[in-house]
Amino acid sequence: MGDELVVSGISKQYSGVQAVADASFTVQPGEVHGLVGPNGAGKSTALGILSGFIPPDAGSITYRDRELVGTVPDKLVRAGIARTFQEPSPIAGLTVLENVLTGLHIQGHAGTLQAAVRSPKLRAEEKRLKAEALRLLGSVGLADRADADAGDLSFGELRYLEVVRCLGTGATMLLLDEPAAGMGKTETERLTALIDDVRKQGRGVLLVDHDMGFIFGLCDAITVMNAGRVIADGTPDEIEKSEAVREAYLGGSTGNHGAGNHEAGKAGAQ
Amino acid sequence: MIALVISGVVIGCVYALIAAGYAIVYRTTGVLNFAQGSFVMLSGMACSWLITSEGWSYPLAALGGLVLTIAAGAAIWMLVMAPMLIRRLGIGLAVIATLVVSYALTDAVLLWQGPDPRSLPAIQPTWQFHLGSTRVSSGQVYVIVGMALILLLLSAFLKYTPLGRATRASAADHETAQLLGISPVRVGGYAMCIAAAVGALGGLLITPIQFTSASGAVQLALYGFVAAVLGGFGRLSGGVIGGLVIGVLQELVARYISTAYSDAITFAVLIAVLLLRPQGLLGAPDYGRARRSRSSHNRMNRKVHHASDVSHEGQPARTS
Repeated sequence: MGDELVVSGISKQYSGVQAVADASFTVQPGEVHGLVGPNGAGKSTALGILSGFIPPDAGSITYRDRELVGTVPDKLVRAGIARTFQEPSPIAGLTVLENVLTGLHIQGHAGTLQAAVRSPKLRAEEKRLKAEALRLLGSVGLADRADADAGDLSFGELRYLEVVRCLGTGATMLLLDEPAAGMGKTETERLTALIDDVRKQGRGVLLVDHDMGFIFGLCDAITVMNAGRVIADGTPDEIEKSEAVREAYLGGSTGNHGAGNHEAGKAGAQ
Repeated sequence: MIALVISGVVIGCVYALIAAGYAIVYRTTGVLNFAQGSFVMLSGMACSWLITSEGWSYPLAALGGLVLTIAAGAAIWMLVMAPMLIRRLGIGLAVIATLVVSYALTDAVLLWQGPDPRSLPAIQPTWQFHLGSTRVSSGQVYVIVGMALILLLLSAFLKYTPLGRATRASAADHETAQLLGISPVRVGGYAMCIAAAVGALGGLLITPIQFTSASGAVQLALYGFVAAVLGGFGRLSGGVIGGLVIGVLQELVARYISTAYSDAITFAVLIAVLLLRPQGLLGAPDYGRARRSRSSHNRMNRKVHHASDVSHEGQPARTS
């Protein structure tokens, strides 16, 4: 029980602008949950609040019966919630493998002192984690880049590293911020397969993306935001038929008609 | 001449260890820790006190001095630096605070142990050899070899252990490291303990061949800082080069010009190097590469719950 991520009534105001207004939604375990909306809808702010980077003005977030508002990001990850960024953030100076291992270590059991001196127990664990990291990297075709400096990866490779590193934290609720942005068709398919695997493992995914084909093809549930508010919440079918959504994208009050039309067009093509 | 170079190298090694302490604390927290010189002084004074007043054996007293100094480093972090950084009072304030701590430690040790310089027995076994007509003592060799070993161990620790990896990750990009479950406050604490240990070992190595006194701490902190900047701030190897240059330079100036000009010339060299080569002799490490290449777009809503409010370029970090 309590394994779903419950977001209720979160709000955030920036110098007079209501970025997120009383937004509520729930992400179930083993579900890919889309979070969409026109530019400026408040998706990014919502994600910032969920990952502990932005303190909300109001509202609560509970996961596994724990209130998570006010928890710092590194503790949130340990509580099982991890996120990626739209713009990949490799830790340059560390190798690709080390990037993944850094997150994997949350799953390690060796104590600080052992981590400092490389005890035999730690070596065994390190070996196991390294194998796990290589397996994760292999799942996105990055195994042969394991020893490269993460700062030297191509943009496409960085996108995969971002997602794989997030998976490596062992988090059971993953917040993915536009993981498919800038990806080609085959790359997106590979990512889709990866996220599908995560779902099968019973982990929850909150997926923010602009690519409606990607969202509608993958999600079990979708929450649509506009101007900081949740305007629709339901299955992809329900969302597609929703009058409010159509209006937000076509008649939009956000002043972002171009992008809105484009996205609505994609959605309609589904 | 050779004798001067050797004694310059020896003191330069201590500067190198202090510079290493600056590097590791700065890279993980963004703070210049001017209490770095106090660690060298504290371990020497504490060890001397444990031997003379408490009757401990030398090895045990040395261990005691090391532990006490690490405890002091941890205390400075927990009581002074971390609370300031968590409350986001700014890096500048934390830096000033370390300077204050440095003076406070000096005064505390003055009250406790008096102003007299202390020395420690020679490290056993003692021996010597001659380089031309110059006598080199075992104590001097221990400092040089000790410094090299300590810094090699430190690099290996950073490179090969999980905790070292976490430290490097946090140093390179503390926001992302945080997303991977690494607490910047904890990593900063470890960094302070490591810096204190490195400084303490320097103190234990140098005090047998050179007097240590309470009032020497601030000067050590300053020379160590000059060494770090001169060689390339943030690099362990840079601190070694800078330390050796400063150490030898000071000896030569003291012998051929005047001890009175020692400081003036040290700082003149620093200024000259900074004007000609602001990145230091070896250049700054490139750990900041990814940050600079990243645009600030979409990072607006990353609010950093960290220690550091300042990026490595000294500009305000991209916080919302």
